[in-house]
Amino acid sequence: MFSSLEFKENLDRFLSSPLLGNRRDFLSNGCPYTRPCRPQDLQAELFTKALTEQELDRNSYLAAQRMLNVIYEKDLVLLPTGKQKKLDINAYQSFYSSDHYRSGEVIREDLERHCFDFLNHEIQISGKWDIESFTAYCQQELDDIAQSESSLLKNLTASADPESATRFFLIQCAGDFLSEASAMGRNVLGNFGSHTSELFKVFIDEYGYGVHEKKHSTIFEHMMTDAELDNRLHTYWQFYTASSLSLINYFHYISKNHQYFFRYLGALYFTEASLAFTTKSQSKLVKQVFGGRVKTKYFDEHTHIDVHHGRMALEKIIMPVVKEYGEGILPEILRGFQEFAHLQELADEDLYRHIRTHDTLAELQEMASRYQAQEGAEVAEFVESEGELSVTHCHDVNEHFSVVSGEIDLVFSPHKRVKLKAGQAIVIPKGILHGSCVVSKQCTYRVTEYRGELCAS
Amino acid sequence: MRVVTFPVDRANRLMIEDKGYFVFKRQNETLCVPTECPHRGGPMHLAKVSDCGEHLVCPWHDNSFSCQSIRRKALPLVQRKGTIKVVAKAQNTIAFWNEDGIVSSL
Ligand code: FES
Ligand SMILES: [Fe+2]
Ligand SMILES: [Fe+2]
Ligand SMILES: [Fe+2]
Repeated sequence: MFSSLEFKENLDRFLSSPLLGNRRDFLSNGCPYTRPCRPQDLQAELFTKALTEQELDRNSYLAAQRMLNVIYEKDLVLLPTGKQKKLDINAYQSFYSSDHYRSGEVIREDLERHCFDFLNHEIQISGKWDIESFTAYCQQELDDIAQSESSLLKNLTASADPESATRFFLIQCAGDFLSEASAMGRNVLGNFGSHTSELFKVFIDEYGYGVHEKKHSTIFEHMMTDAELDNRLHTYWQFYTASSLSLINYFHYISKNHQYFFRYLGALYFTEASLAFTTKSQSKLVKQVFGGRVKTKYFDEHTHIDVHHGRMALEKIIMPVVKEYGEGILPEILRGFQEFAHLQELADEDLYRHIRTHDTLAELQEMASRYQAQEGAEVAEFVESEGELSVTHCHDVNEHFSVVSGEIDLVFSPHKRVKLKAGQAIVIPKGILHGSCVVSKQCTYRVTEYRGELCAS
Repeated sequence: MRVVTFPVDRANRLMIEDKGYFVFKRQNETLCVPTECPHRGGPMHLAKVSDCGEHLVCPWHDNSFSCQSIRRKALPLVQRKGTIKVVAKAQNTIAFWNEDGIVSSL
């Protein structure tokens, strides 16, 4: 951990990059380097303490996950892909500049603690583990997931707008799948004996064994296109929830810091083994919702190949590694397995909460129009002019948002917007991702904490 | 091999075949350890925590056992979301229940 002064200086330096600054658009069209983070909201004090699980709906969690993703992805080679491969050379140089890299590295450890330390408290592992009890435990966990009804399928098909809900889900996957298995690449370098080569075999499957059409990220690109979504990396940067970013970042976190290599093996095992069956219901969801218009090859490929990857992770990597280096590493492997499972559960619940909010925007407007703020409640007023865009964020409390004059669009996803005119209002539940954009010459709006009941989500 | 699952607040005692266990809670860990004292079989779940906090003192002959040595006998355990899961090398009779006055150093 660094001194608070050093953290503050480097945080400010890191955030001063124009790539992280505010923009005039919610979508970053094909440029993988623009990563708006709302620097104006981010004071160093927000990040000095580790969040608890109950605090993950805070805006500082979203901001820290965004910054961590920028920091980690500086280690990847990203160039624009897709139809218009226009390279903004300034953005490219500034993203990979050594100055920006350095300030990112200084703040990284504190951000990691802010985001991931809660896992140490939420998950406790003790006792004497051997390979038998380890496999019995993991098998039981995986069986439980395999046998439980798919909550994804249930929640998304039950949405008032299943197509938008499913697109929102695909957007949440996109940050990960469009550069799939990049974090894994950090673990295939070096030499850890014959296991290096076993891991490499999983890696080459993910990368389509050199056939670009077979690369998993390429298969996902096709699926995005079928679903009428932009298939370029981080076009939807502003619409990733913090919990979705946590899934990408967790793998970088345990792969960049090789002190967590054994956790990585556990997380790898969990993700490969569980994808073998969770992708079945994902495939079913896409078929059901889009009625065959969207091909499900991406999910189907994983239903097939991840049976092998799960087995390879356990039998070809974990078991021999434990045999060689001793059972003392099992609690760490198990920790990785369980931590990723935990983050995945949190991300699922967060996704459903967002979908439920998207489905109840009308009710949230109703609720807001009936609400009378208590006397003396703090109210902030803003005046913005046409085209002014508030980069997506979330609030630590439920917010009452009302328009005094003019017109503004509140944006909850690329497919869920609410236009608010003078006299109209809405409640924005805490922890729900949203942004806004002024659509009249000028707009005046007020925000205050909403202290009423929240029935929608 | 069996995974035994129970809510944290619903059980602190466990019987696996004919061997007793108790859930020993410390600041940063939860252990599931045998109730039987290594000396003459005294009730370790009714032990006292030593002044230094690092030993359990058996109520029968006041032998003191380091948490380190107790930890070595702990069953494989994962605690998450208010649930404890323990892996037991047994097929039959597993029982768990709550008992008052169990030692803990929280
Ligand atoms: S039985 Fe425990 S000290 Fe003798
Ligand atoms: Fe894959
Ligand atoms: Fe895989
Ligand atoms: Fe807001």
